[in-house]
Amino acid sequence: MHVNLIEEVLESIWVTEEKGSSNLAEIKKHSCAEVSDEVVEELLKNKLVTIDGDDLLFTETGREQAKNVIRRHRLAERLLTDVLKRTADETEETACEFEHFLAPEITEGICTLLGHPKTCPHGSVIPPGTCCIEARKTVESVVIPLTKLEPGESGKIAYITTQSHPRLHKLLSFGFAPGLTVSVHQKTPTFIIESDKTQLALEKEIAEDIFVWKKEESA
Amino acid sequence: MNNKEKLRVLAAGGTNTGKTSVCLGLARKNIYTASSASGKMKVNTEEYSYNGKKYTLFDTPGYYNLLNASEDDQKTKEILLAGRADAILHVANARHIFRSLLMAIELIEFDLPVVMALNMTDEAEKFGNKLDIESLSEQLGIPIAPTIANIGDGVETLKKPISKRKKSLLTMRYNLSIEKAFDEIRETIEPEVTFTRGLGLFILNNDSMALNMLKIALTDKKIVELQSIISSLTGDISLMVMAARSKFIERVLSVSLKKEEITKIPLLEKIGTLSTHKVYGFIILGFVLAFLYFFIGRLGAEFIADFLDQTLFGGYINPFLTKLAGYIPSEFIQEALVGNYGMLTTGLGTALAIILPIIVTFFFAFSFLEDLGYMPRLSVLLNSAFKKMGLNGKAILPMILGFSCVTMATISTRVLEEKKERIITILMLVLVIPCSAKLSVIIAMLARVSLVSTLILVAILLLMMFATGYASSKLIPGEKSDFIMEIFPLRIPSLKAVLYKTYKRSMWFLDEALPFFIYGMFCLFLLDKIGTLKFLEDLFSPLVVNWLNLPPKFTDAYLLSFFRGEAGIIVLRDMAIPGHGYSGELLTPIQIVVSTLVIILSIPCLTTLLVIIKEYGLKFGLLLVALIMPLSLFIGVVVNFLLRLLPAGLF
Repeated sequence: MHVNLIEEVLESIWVTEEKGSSNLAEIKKHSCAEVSDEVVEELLKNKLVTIDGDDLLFTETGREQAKNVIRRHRLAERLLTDVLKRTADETEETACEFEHFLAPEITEGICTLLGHPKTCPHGSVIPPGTCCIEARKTVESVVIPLTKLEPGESGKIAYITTQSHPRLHKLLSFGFAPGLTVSVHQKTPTFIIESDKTQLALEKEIAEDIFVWKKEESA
Repeated sequence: MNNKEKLRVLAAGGTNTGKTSVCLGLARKNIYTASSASGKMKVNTEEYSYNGKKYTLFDTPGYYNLLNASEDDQKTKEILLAGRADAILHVANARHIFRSLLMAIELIEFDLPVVMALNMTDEAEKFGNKLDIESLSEQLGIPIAPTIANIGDGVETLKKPISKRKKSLLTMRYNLSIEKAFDEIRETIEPEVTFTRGLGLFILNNDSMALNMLKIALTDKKIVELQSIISSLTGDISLMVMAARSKFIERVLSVSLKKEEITKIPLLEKIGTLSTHKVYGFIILGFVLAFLYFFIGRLGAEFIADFLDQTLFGGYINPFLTKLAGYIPSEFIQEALVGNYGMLTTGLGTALAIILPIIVTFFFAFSFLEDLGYMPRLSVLLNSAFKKMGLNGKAILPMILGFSCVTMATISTRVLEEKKERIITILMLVLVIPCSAKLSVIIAMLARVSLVSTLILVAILLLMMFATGYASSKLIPGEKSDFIMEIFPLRIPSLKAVLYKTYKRSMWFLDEALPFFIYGMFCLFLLDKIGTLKFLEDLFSPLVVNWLNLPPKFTDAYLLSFFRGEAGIIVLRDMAIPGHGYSGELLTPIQIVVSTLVIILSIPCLTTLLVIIKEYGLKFGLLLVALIMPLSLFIGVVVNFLLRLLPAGLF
C-alpha cells in the first residue's frame, strides 16, 4: 500500500473531525483519494484508527501522524501564498504534493521562516509543531513585514517578496539584502529605514515586501 | 585597428555620477557652452586627442543596471552589444560605492578595457567612507583615477590609462549551472559571434535586444539551440548574478573601504531627524520657505533688483546708452536699441537688473539647501502628496527648480525614472509653475490687490496643478516608479561649493536666457514697427477686451511671454503699477489676477519649448502648444467670469 494514500486518508479523517464528525461516509466525501475497504483495513492493521460503529476514530499514533500531514500541507500553502504570492486556489495541488515529502527538519525550517503561523490561507488551524511550542517558550524572533515594526525597533531581513524585478534590484543595489539588520526610523509620512551604512526612504508598499526577523529588545 | 582610426570610448555610469562633466573635461569643453546641456535622452559624442591619437567619447544616459534595463538603459546596452566601443570609461560615484562596483563588474564582463573615473571621493570621505583606491584598483584589475569632475580635477589623468587599453583579468564565477550554460553558448555562437560573459548573461536572461542582434549573425538552427540552453536553465538569472556580485563586492570593500568616525554635530542631527517628521517636518519646511521668501523675494527681487533697476540702470546706464545711441545716424537703429522695445534698455536692462538678482539669490539658496542635504528630506515629506498626481517624491526637485527657471527644470526631469513621470512633471512645470523671474514681478503686482485676490490666484494655480497631475496620471499610459531614496545626514554646507554652484547655474541661465531677451525684444520691436503688433492687437481684441475684460495691449504681453514669460510679465507690470510709462488706465485688481493667471498658464518661454522638442520630439512640442495656448485663455475667461460674480470689495 502506498504511503501517500494512507496519508491522504488520515488527512481527510482530520478534516472531517474538524467539522465535528467521524462518520466514514463523511470522511469519504472529504477525501481526494478513494477510501476503499482495503485502505481502512490497512489503517486498522497499522493501529492508526479504530472503528466504532460507522465512525472512524484516531488512535494516539494515528492522530500524531495525521497532525504532521496536515501541518505540512497547511504550511506549504502559507509558504506558497505568503512568499511566492500564489492565490489560495493555485496552491492546493502543490501543497497536496508537498505534504508527502517534506522532511521534519525542513518543515520546522519553513515554520520558523514563516514566523510559526497559526492558520492556513483558508483559515484552518495549523497544528503547532515542536518548533512553535519552543518558540513560544523562548519568545524567539518571528518573521514579520517591516511595516509591523515600530519606530526604533529593528530586525534582520529574512526575505524580500517583491514581484517586481527592478524594485528588488534597487533594494539590493542599496545593499538591502537578506541578512542585513535594519531599524525603522519613522513610519509617516514616508517610511525611513536605516542600516549601519545607509538611511533609506521608501514607500509603504515596498516596506511591506521586506520581511524581517524581529529583534527583541534586551531587557 | 590601425593608428589613424579613432578609438571609441563608451562613457557609462549611473545617473548623476558626473559622466557629462568628465566627458566635457576630457574634451576640454565648458559645461555651459556645450550643446549637451540638454538632450540627455540621446548619446552625445565628444572628441579629444592624446599622444597623436584621436578618441571619440560616447556620453550615454545614466542607468541603473543593464541586465534588467529600463528605457534609458537601452542606449548603453545597445552600444555594448553591438560592439561599437573599443574601451569603456566607467564614471562611478564614491558615495554610492556598492552600486558603482556592481556596475563596474557588469562592464568588465564585456571583455573590453575598462577605466574607472571615481567621482566624489571627497564627498564620501566627509561621510566617513575612506576608500583605498590602490587596493580597489588591484582587486578589480582596472585603473581607477579619483576625479572631482565638476571642477575638472583629475580628469586629465584618465587619458593615459584609457590609451593603454589594458583588460581586467577579473572573472566573476557564477554558480555551476550558469558556467555550464556559458560553455554551451560559447560553443554555439562562436566563431560567428565573439563570446563574452556579458553577452552570455544577456542571452541567458532571454534579452530580446541581444537575441535580435544574434539572429542577424547566426543561423536559425543555432538560435533554436540557444533557446533550448536558455530554457534549460532554472532559477532567476539576474538574482543569482546579483547575489554572486554582491558577495564579491562585500569582500572587496572589506579590504578597500575604511569606515572612519565622523564628528557628529548633535544639533544638525536633531534637525535632520525632525525635518522628515510628520509634524515638525512641515514646521521646518515653513521656516525654509520663509527663509526663501526673505532671501529671494525681499533681498533679491526687491532690494537688489530695485537698486539695479532704478539707480544703476535707470539713473546711469540707460541714460548713458540713450545718449550714446543718439550718435547713431539711423533713427530706426536708435529705436531698436534704446526705444520703447529697446534691445538694450528694455531687453538687456530687464534681464540684468531685474531677473539676474533673483536668479542669483535663488540659486544661492537652492545650492545652500542642496549642500546642506535638505532636498531628499523634502521628497520624503511630500511623497504622498505627489503620489496622488502619479508622481513620487523625487519629482519635487524639478518642481522647485521650476521656480528658478522652467527650462532648467525641464532638463532636470531626467532624474525621474519613468517617461510617464517626466511628462506629467513637464506638463505641470509648463502649465502652473512660474519661474522666479516671473514670480518676483507677479509679487510686486500683487501688492496692488487684496490678500483675497492673491489667495484666489494661488488657489487656482494649486487646483490646476492637482487637476493636471491627477488627469494626466490617469490618461498617460505607463507606470509610476518606486520611491526609494537614500538620505544622507545633514552637514554644514561648504561656502566654496555653494558659491561655485551658484556661479555655474547663474552663468548657465544667462547663457540660455539673455539672447532670447534681446531677440524677443527685437521681434516685438519689428512687429510694432511694421504694424503687425497693432494688427494682432486688433485681431485678439474681441477676445481680450470682451471676454477677458483686459486692454488690447495685453496681447503684447501674451505674445512676448511666448518668447520669455518674464518679458511678457514685465509688460503687464507696466500696465499694473504706475510709473512705468503706460499711457492707458491702470489694470484693476480683477484684471491683474486674470492677466497674470493667463500668462502663467501659457507656454513659459520659447527655450523651454525648444528643450521639450529636443527631448520629446516636434510632435509632442506642438501638441503641448495646441493644448496649452487655448487652455490658458479659456481658464482666463472662466475665472474672469466667475470673479465678476463676487462682490467687488473682495479684491
